[in-house]
Amino acid sequence: MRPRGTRISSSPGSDVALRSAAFARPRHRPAGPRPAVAQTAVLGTGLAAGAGVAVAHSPYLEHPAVHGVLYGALIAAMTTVACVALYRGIERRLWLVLLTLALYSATALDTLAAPGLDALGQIAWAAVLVVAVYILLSFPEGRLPDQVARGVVAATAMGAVLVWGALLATAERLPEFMPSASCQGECPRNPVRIVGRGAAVGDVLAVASWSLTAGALIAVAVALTFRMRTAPAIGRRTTSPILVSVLAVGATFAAAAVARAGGAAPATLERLGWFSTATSLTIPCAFLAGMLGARVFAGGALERLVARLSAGARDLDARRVLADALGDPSLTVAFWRPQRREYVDAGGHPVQPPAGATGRSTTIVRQDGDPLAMIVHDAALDAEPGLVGAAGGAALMMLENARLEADLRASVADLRASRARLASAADAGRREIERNLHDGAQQRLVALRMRLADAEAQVVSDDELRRSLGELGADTEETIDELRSLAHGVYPAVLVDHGLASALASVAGRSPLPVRVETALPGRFAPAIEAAVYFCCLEAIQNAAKHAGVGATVTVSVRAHAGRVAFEIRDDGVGFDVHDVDDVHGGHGLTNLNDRVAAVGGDVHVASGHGAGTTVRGDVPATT
Amino acid sequence: MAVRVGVADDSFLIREALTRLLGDSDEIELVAVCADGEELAAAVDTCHPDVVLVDIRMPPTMTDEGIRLAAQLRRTHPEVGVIAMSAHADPTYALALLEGGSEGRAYLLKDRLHSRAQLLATIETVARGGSIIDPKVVEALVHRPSSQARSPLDVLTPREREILVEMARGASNAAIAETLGLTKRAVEKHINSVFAKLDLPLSGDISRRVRAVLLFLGRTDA
Repeated sequence: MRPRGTRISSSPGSDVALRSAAFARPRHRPAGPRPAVAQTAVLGTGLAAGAGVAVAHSPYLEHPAVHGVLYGALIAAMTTVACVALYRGIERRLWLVLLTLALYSATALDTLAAPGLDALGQIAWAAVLVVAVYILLSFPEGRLPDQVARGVVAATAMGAVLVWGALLATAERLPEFMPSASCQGECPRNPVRIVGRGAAVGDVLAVASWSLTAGALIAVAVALTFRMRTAPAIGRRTTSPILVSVLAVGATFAAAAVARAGGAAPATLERLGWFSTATSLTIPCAFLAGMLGARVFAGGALERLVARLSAGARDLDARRVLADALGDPSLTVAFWRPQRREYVDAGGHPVQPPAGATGRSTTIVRQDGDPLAMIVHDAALDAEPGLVGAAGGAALMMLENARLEADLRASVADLRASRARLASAADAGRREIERNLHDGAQQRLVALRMRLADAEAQVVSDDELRRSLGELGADTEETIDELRSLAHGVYPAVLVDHGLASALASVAGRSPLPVRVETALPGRFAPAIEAAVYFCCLEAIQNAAKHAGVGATVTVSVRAHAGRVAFEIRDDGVGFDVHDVDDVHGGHGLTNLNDRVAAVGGDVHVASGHGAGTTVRGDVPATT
Repeated sequence: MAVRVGVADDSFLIREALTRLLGDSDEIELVAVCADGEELAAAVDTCHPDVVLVDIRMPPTMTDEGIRLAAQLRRTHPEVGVIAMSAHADPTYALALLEGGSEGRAYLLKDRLHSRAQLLATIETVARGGSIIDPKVVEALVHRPSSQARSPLDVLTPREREILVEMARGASNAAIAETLGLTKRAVEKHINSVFAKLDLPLSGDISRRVRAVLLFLGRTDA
């Protein structure tokens, strides 16, 4: 069972396109099953005949035979449209097709004199109105694409229930729905009547039902107009004929309602009735015209696409090429990453298929059976099923190139994220060690020192013992100092609590060389950023202390500017040759600077020369 | 009269050791031993200590609870002295402690705790409203680099620098004289000279002096 709202189609024709060198016409999709089309044709024909015969026997029509033929022709036209749609795969819900045909045929009963049948006919009209509005608004996607459409259908349904409900509950005699039919006081009795309201009620509610019909159709026309404004090129072709015919029918019913309310003569109404029948016939024709327009567009689109691909530019933007050819600017392409089993866009970022009825449709392009790309496009393109798939198939090579590029970008992003996680985990580990040292070992040693002092004070007579205890105490103090240094080296608490400026000042204070620190920072940064800058500066300062020579001075500056944190450690010492491999690796451990900084997405450069001092310069993004 | 002392430290070992150290002394009356800042704040209300010893790093955030407690007590119980204990010699923490004023505030490294004499002296000083800063912290401050090419301390003579360090530690003029082997008059002369050269406001109050000097040393002009 497909999840509601998603419509995903594949393009089996793509393999064919791959194997034939030139652009080959894709095989027809198997589309709708033949049995369904046959069933519809047979049923439709039968219903057309039946309805036509029924109408031809109506006592309320002026030219019943002609009306009968027209009725039959209308149902036949609807059957034809339904068969084409089923065959092409545009409509797959056989039940909906059969239901619509049956309901419309049932409306023929309204023209008969028998009260029960007439009532059934009226109910059929109510149902037909709602179903028609639904179909008009959900073509060709097969579902209502937006809130407006859903609102119109809901309002029509409610209106139909109210008006026809009132009619059936209160009218003494049931009026005819078709404007051409008039029963003038001989209307069939209402078998379902519940409450009596006087004879005029029937007339009022007849006008109401025509007004509702007109209103619903005009609302449909307005909704379709708005939809056309944002639809892709193909959408305009499928929708414009339908829009025109819907407006025509709606206008006719509006005129009829106005005429009847104004007490027009039956002859006027009869003429309006001919109009309504004629315009109703245009609706199935409009559907056919729409489908034909989509077909023509598809042909042109594929021609354009192949021409573009043959022109053979190297750096094609896959998305742009497909969107231009198919006339859908909202089209997007995502590429399959087999190792991660996910789709990513051209930049390498993961993409989810759209869920729910959002007016979007998804087509998967395959190569040798495996997914290659996912094209998400306006659902209007489904009016020509197989178009998007064929386009994808024709563009396989372009898509494959684009896929490789996207995969590469995604891999780079994965790598970067992995490095950042590793660095962050390492930092967290260090902070943990520092905390444990502080909370555990240091506290113990301090307490130990205090107890030794205590014990020393207790000893009164034994000088030897007291001296030993004193020495132990002094040793313990040294241990505490060393431990404090160690903890500070692992991860300085002052960096956590007070940030870069204080931490760097602290480093400077301990350095054997004079170190000047200048910072211009607006505040704190993420721990990973501060740690990267701190440890990088620390390493650089320590290197300067080791190698710059006596008498050198070091200047450290850290500034934040334009979303980045820039740091520089400069010394005026002896320098070294950056191109000399020995110098770089033999103790000038400046290569590890790069790892730390790169893990957060930053850069670092070392410049130095014999006798010219050394400058370490780098920057990192200010946010992770 | 015995000084009433309260203690707050999340380490059981430290609490034990301090209890033993302070409990024996006649000059000290240990009125409260707590495991975190909240407990101590409550105990201050009920037990009315004169001085409290607080660890800086305590639950719940393990960052600067002790310093925040000192600031809170400055508002609610200004007569209570606070001695902050820390394992870190970094002067940043001491400066943070003195931000709310230096009267009755001291910063000691936990290394000092073993010496009963020093601890008692600190407690007494703080109880009187004085201010003591651990020498190791002062040392770190004095060696801290400034952003200017020449340190502002360059204008001082070596002797004046020694006196500056002693002042930063919170010593009185008499104590400085004794430590450095000078007469009180000489000490006073040097002090005036130091304050004049560094352009600091002179104050007879020792604790205010400590603060002025420490803030001067801790300045990190960018």
